[in-house]
Amino acid sequence: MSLEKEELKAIAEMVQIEMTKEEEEIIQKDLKCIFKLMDDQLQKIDIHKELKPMVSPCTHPNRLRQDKVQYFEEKEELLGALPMKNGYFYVPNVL
Amino acid sequence: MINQYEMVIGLEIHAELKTQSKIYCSCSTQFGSDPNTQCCPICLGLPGTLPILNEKVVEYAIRAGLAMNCSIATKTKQDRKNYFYPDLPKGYQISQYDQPLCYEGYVEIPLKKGTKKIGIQQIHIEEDAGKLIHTKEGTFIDYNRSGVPLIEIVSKPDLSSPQEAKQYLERIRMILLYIGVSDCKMNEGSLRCDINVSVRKKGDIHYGERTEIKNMNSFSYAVKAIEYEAKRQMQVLEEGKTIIKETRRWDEKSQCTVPMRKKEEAEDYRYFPDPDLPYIYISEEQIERIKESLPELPNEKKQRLMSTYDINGDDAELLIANPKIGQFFEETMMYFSNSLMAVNWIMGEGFRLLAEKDKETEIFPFTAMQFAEFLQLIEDETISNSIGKKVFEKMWNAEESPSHIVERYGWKQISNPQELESIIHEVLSQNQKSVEDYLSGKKVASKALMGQVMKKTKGKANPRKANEILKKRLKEKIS
Amino acid sequence: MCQMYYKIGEKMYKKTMMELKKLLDHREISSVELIKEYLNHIQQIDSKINPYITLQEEKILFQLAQKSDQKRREGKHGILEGIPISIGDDICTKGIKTTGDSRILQSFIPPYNATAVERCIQEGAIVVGKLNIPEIGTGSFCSEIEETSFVLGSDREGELRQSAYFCGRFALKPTYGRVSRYGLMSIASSFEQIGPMTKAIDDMDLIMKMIGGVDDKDPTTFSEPWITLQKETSLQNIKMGIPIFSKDIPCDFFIQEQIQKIAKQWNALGAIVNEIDFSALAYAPLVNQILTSAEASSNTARLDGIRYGYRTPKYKSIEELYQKTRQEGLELGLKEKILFGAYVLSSSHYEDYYIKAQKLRTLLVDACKQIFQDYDVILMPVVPFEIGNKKEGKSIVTKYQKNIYTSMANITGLPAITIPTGYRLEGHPFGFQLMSSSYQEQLLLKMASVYESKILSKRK
Repeated sequence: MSLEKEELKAIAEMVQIEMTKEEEEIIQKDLKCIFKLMDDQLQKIDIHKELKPMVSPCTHPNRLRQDKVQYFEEKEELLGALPMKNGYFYVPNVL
Repeated sequence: MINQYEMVIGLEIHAELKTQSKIYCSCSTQFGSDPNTQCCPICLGLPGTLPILNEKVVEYAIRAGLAMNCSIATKTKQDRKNYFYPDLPKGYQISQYDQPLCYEGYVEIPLKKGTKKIGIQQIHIEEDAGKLIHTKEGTFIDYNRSGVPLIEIVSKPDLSSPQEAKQYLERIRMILLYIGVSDCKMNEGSLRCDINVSVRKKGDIHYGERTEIKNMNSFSYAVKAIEYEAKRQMQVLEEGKTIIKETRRWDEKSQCTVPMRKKEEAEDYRYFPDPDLPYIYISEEQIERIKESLPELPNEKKQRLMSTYDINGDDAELLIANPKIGQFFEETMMYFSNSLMAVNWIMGEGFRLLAEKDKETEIFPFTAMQFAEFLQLIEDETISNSIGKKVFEKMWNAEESPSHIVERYGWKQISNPQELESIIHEVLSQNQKSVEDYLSGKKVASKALMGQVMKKTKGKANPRKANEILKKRLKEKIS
Repeated sequence: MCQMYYKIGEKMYKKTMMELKKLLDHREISSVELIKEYLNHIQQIDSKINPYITLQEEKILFQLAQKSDQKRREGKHGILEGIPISIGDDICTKGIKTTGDSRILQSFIPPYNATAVERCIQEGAIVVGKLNIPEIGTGSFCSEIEETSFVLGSDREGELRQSAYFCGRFALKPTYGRVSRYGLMSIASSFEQIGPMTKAIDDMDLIMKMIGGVDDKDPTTFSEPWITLQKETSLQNIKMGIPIFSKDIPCDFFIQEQIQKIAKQWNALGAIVNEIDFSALAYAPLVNQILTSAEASSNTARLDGIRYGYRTPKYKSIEELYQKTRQEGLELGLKEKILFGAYVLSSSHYEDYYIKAQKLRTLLVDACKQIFQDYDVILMPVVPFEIGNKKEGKSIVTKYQKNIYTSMANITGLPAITIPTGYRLEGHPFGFQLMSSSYQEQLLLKMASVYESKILSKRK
């Protein structure tokens, strides 16, 4: 799998990361190397279609909680990190 | 041009579930609070937090699924939909991708003639995002709504017209209200829909390219938007161009759909199963229990009303659309048997006065028993129809029973034949000219005479009986 | 009033947790005196090699110590009363800066404790500071973590076990779901666990009893109870397997030699040791790389500079806010991981990488199940080679190959422990790994305890 600069840039935009030119070089080289190692291995094994994909080692069912309201007490600690206006978080106009 | 094409419409309806707490945390879901006062580390997406699913959300979603004839999955999972937007605190929305909780259902909608089944592809659970307020100074974010539970009801592309779409929307809304899982207030955002529209030449089996119209929050806008968009697409195709798959929104000012500026159409959501949420297993017993707890659903009720009370489809539709009125009607029927008469009074004078007097309540200010008593008075001909209107209006303010009102105002109809005879005799003797007119062939003069009878009795004469007697006396005069 | 009974020269910060507990319980030292000693030692460490990212304020530490002593006087003390502990910096501690080893959270102060931390604090433990565990795992700060009685750290690909390896400590990655992940800054949700790094096995046993168990805040936790360590001096025919090393299951020759020596030690202790075909190990790096990166790319999306953490100072649009914040705030290694993860999750590559890796994961779990039908534990190296320099150690390619032996436990959810051998090699203490089947931590601890009493104690 070749990872060209264009594709790397597209992926970077998907995850909202801007890379410096230096970083781009290093990352592209590293990822190419990893993919080569992986592709070589994947080519040698035959993964059965019917094999079930595993999401997590957790084998028990989900535990649900009751529909009860609880207030988070430490409001100041929760919201104080970045400046807010009139109780709202704010960012540049999105539209 | 329009006749060559047919519309293919699918709806994705989002309904906020009216649970007390959010889907993955215990924050309140109450509407209208000060910004960011119903938040916690989980719904703000702080690092290290984990989602804990609210059991009521699963229950309500299954209720909706069963009410819409869906199959319920016995094993289901949650997936992450990854994208960046300021209203999405974790940078992903927890939703369901390929193993939804409910699937393969349908909803029957009334057409002008008969009904149509609209397929439901799936109903799945997901979390709502925060609310954005866009101003010149910037975009303000309130995360109170982040994490409020939603069900997304995805229809199959079975709708063929804007009117059908409206009927479908209204039916879904009605069902959700009946089963009590959402308060469906479009103006508060607890019911939203996205519309997928495409057109194709009649007879064509392939689907045309579709566009999505997002965030409709009014049924009437939805109808207008579909109409406009379908026409627009037909025009594009007629000009030999292709439809661009894009997301649009309805602009009420310009009365047309416009492309949205967000580059959503190119988005790759990189769906994958959420590793923080183990599989959810639903037992047959749980499904049975929920099924048994369902109330009578709109279509069932409509059928029952029609067959039990011998009323037509349109009237039944109005009764089911207003559940409180429907209940009132049925209670009335316990004391009174002429269903048609009851329906007419409810739909006619009843709705008129409701709208006039009190837009807030959906209920009449008198009991069904009193209403039945009122109707009986008319049926017995104790009062005339026109007096009835007066009595009905009085019932709105008075604490008295209809019979008392009639007594107090002396509105009892004069139905006694002897009384009527003597009054008519007087009228005939006092209106010689009209009598002569009638005898000379002007049949319409009898109306003038009836008018006199009514005047003399101050409207209290039983019109039918009086007319009968009048006609008899006039006939006698001829011979 | 407490009098110092301990011998002059026997430093507090060298003692195990149980030793400290004994001294505190017997009132031979007060919490205040203990904290004082720890702080003195920490202050003497050369700042260049200080493993602490954040130290609790002295004032607060003394306040907490005083409260501890007060509780002890009133007889209301907890099981870990007054014990100083250190926490990995990706585990949330309320009111204490927690950076997740990243610039983007350099100013983040969590308003809540991770459950594992909360359970320790409820029993009276005192959080001294926050450590950079992965950095320790690259070979830095080894002996300097002595000033902490025990450490709670995260292990997603082997970081905690590798840190213990370099520092001559014990470390346990518990069975997935044994310890709550609530409060652990998530990178790879289905791989990571919080575990203890300790100086002695008795410490580990008590700590696991404290921190493990079902947590309402984490639906992936299970209810299998923790079985307390029962010290046995013989191993009664424990069957131990060692993987056959090969090109695909690589290991530096000198490490292989050590493993053989260790196997002989176990043999002498009563275990039946055999070589086993563990060819599944060859796929561990692949599965690990794809799936941890995929999850990381999603888990780190919340680090966007909007609600908390670092925000880039200059931005004109929302895109600039996101992209510059993440560019400036995320380290190169994490950026690589995120980009790799997004790539394998993207619609055009999802089937080829992500789904295949998930299917391979099932195969690896099955392979381990097969082995554990005939064997009780697997003996493995911790790392397959020595990492030359620190910079190389951080490279994505090095990490890919380095984690082969540790990541198997994370992939399968099985428990694994690092046990120190008590001697140094290549300039640092040497150790090895034991892995067992699900919920069998008590077997791992039992074996570690035997090794500790029969082998390690003789070296001291």
